[in-house]
Amino acid sequence: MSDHFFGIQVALQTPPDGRLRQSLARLLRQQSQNLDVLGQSRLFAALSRTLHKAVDVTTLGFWDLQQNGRGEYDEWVRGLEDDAAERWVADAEAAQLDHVLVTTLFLLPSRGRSAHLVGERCDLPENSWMRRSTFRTLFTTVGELDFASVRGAAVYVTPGNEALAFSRRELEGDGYEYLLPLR
Amino acid sequence: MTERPRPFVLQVAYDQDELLGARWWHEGLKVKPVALGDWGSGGDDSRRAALKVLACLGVGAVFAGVAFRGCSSDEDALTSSYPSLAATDAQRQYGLLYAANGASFTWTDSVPNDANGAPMVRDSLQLLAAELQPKVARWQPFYVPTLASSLRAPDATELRATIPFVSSAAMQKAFLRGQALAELIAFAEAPAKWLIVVDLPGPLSVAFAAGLAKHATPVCMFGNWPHPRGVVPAHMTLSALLFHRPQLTASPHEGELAAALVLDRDRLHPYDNASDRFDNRYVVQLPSASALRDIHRVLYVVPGDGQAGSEQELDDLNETFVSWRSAGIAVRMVGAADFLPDNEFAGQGEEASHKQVAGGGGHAPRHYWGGTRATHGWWLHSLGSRPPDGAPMQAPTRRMAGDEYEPRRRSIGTSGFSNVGRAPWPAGSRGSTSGGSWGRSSGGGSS
Repeated sequence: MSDHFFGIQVALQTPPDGRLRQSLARLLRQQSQNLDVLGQSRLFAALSRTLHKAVDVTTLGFWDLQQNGRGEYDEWVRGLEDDAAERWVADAEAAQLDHVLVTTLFLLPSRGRSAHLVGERCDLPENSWMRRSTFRTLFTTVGELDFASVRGAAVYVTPGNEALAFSRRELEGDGYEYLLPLR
Repeated sequence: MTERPRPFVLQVAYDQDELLGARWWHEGLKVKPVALGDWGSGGDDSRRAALKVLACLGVGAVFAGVAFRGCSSDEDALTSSYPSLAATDAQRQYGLLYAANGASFTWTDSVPNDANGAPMVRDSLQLLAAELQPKVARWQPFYVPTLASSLRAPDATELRATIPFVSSAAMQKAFLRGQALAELIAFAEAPAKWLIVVDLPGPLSVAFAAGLAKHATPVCMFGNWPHPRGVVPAHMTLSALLFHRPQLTASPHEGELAAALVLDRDRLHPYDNASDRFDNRYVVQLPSASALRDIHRVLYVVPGDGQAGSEQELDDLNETFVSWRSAGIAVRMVGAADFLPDNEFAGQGEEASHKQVAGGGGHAPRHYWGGTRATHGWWLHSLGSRPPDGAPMQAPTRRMAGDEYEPRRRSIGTSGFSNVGRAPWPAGSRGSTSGGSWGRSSGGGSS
């Protein structure tokens, strides 16, 4: 009955209203509806392709895989969705507001195909966890999940408005300590 | 041409300055339980531990990207061993009345007006699922809109045109009992640390939660669609939701509130595969212990009517309750039947309470745990709540439901879960949906 939590959060250095921001926004807005398994696969395959193109501008990241992960999934969901309740305030002290956070979360039945796939792809030595090549692999994996064995899925872009952005300073500060530079 | 089933139900979507995103839940996903060994035994749930366990399961030999080349029997069991599809998927794809064979819904205890005395506004029925979304954000991830969302089904026109409010005498009593339990929260020092799990037959759970709603955010977890031949009479629960809609949706937005997870005890109703029934049963998934880190006490509300099995949690809750207890959360049981009208009003209780809830203006006796103010006060005190100064307190002299209850891991008939909520494929259509995943057969053995 246990499920795995699989989550990735990355900070992309991309200017507000840039092509990458527009591409992410278009993708999510088109798919905010009930989806069949194929539709869900297409959405995350498209997200995977978009993130692949952004690997070189991915500055910070975090990923995790946990067994008995329902609580972790719920906590991430709550944390991210709580952000929606707080009015966006731009970092007034930063020279550059050019970062966006992309988060994708999954709840995977422990013996399902997707859990196995993720387990295989994530079976890496610890010293490689923050390598750019690892994130490339993780992005690929997101696009290859078998959604017949995915229980919950979520994707978020923060901030939501393409004209707004984080500063890197913010993402290296309080509340985002878990985000680490990619190597 | 029928639509593909859309089992990934959009639970929430954001498109605002702060956040753009969406979250889906795969309705009806069934995973065949397998022997887990040390898996999930608690302790280290870390990334490294997860990898270790996955490695033990033989990861690495069976995948080649999306081109799934074959796998072991465990894996095949996930998608290919069921000659059926999830009941809600079947209804989404083939219609609300799929396999109804001409049967139609019938209701008992229908009433003309809702709990506020207002008549039915049928144009508003499709809004029910959205209106029942918990007002308190932290509980929103656990809300299951499936039942309420059935009113939005494309072919629910007739259901929307005919569904009545229902309110039975038992529901009215459950409402008063919910109000009595609400006192526990009202006098609690930290109401937000309380979680109530209401596990009564659907309409009674709804009424009980409505009685609690001023002090506990209702979180409905009804995970099926109604069906005229349904094993679970979900249409009655849906009608009860409509009757108590004013109270459920008026639950406060903020302040020191507990939460009430509202379940249908009939969700695992015994079913022997009788061909004239539609298996709309389901398994509920409660929040994990880590998601309840700020909850200190759980009160599990059962009928407490002396029926066999009424003093233990249903099978699908056992593992979660044990994990809650292991995490230091006190899980107590209370029997709804132990909330009785004040002895002062003995003999006129039911009739009086009926008048009040039905808007007749009669006198409804307050209900108390144990039937007296003194036993009620003692009970509040025993649970750490603080009744008003001077409130009488006296321990009950008879055995009360849940006295000896504590969650204990027990052997669950897991085969029962794997067969819960399945519907037959229509003739000739098996394997034709969902991107080829349903019913896909194994490609061969694995190393």
